Amino acid sequence: MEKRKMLTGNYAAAHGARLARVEVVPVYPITPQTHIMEKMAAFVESGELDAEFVPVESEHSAMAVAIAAQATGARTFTASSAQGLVYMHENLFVASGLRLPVVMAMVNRTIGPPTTICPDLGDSLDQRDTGWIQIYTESAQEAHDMIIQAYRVGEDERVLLPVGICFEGMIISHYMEPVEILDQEKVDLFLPPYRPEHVILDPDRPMSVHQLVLDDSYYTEYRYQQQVAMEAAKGVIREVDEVFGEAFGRRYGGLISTEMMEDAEVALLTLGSMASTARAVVNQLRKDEGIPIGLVKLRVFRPFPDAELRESLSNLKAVAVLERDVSIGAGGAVYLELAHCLRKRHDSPLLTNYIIGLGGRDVTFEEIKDIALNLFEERDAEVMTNPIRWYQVRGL
Amino acid sequence: MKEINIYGRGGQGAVTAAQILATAAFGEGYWPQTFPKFGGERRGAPVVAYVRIDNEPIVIRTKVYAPDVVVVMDFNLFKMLNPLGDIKPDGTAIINYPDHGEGLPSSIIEEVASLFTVDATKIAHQIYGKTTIPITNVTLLGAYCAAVKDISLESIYEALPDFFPEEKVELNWKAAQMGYKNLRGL
Repeated sequence: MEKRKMLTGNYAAAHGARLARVEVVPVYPITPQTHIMEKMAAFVESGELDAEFVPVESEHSAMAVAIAAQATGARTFTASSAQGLVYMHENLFVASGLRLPVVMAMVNRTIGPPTTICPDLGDSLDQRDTGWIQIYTESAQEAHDMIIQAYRVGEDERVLLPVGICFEGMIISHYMEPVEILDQEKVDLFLPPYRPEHVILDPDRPMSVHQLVLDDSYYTEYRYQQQVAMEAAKGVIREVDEVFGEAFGRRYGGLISTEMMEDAEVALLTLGSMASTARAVVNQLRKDEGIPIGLVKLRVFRPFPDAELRESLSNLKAVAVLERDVSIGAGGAVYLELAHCLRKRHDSPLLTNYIIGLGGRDVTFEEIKDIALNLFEERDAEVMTNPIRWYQVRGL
Repeated sequence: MKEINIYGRGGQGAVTAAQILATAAFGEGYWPQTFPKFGGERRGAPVVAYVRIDNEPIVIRTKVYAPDVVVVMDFNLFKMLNPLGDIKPDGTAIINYPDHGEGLPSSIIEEVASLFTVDATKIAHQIYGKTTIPITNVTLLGAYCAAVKDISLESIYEALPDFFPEEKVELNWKAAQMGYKNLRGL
């Protein structure tokens, strides 16, 4: 029987990993993720979770242990943030290159300097080319549910890729709110044990992994297979969302979720916690001011849901992408990929990009409303001048 | 929706107070949300924790800018910031202050529609003994229940085991009751 409890995002994620019956948990502490590590250690200590907790000496080692453990067929879980996640970077390629479906809670925190423990998405978006599936969540409940879904997606034989479940530090990790903790028996039915055939370090079944591919032998084919797996993950994420919905009564929409898009002329597109406040803004503008505006929440950044985004955005006049990150010298990471995905289509909407909420700066209802109203005013422009906009810079 | 800001210093338990209040509200069937304004919460540094309480799931994820209720756990915070600066015109404030509130500056009294004090430091010393930083959080939650009357003192009691080891629950329950009884309206 499911029970609802007051939980922080961090504890909700830890309960998700416990219910997934993870077997090895190597973690190195870093704020804002540390509560996950503490809770996992407590689960192991109390016997609620039958797992090996490995207190490693660095994040780089955390991922090394995760890779080794997963390669022996153990379901593995870790968590990191900011500099810790960046420090793991080279091993993230190893996890995906060896096709090991490790799951990690990527609790977003700004990369310094200057140092802050507050969030933006720069740390996980920086890992975009490592071959990890990346799913962004906007609440403690979604983080809880998606940790469990992540194993089913990553371990699917059509996918076999590691998965990062991303949620913003402080805004989700430290928010305490009602969360329904899933029932273990139902989770066991939803998520069968991990029984790999493709990579398994087992003395009874000798297998060579992590080979050299010198002389242009098969490197291209390895990479191509990862790309094929990422493409396959799109369908698997949608399927898992459906099966999860049937089992637990909650669906999130797969790669993107849309609201009030049927007759929308303009839309806000965002990800993570900003989707919550943006939803409230869109609801109010629809109800009180009759503005035909919709919301697109990007749930999955890797694989990038190009077909879904084209379908939902094609007939709009204008779209504003609000994101808590920036690729310095270019623009917001999501905007850049969206612009690529909508390129050279006669029915493409005008695009603007709002760089907002960096370093955890609060993004208020009024600010999102201001952006939405501005977007509506600009909707019939010939072109968007100055499309990449730094919204909250003081002194400008 | 009701919004509550709890001001304290790192080590006084402002974040825990906010979580206990939200858990008590959850026990009464509300959909609460609580979170700290996080600055690392160094010992002694100013801390603010926010609580939202509503009858339906709360969708917004932003700081609280116009609280209905403000709880101030340490009067010396007024030397650094004004915890009452953004309170709603019809707001309620509960301040940890000695001597039944006598001597409170008139600027504070005039700022708030509904003002209460409780000598939570004295109660903390009686109950928990002398600590470097007086632990005033649960006492102020008792005072909150008496002043605001939306959450019952019993719901605070029911929430306590989620936050304290078994042997500390009754001690904190006593602190809550003392806070409730010793509230003074101005």
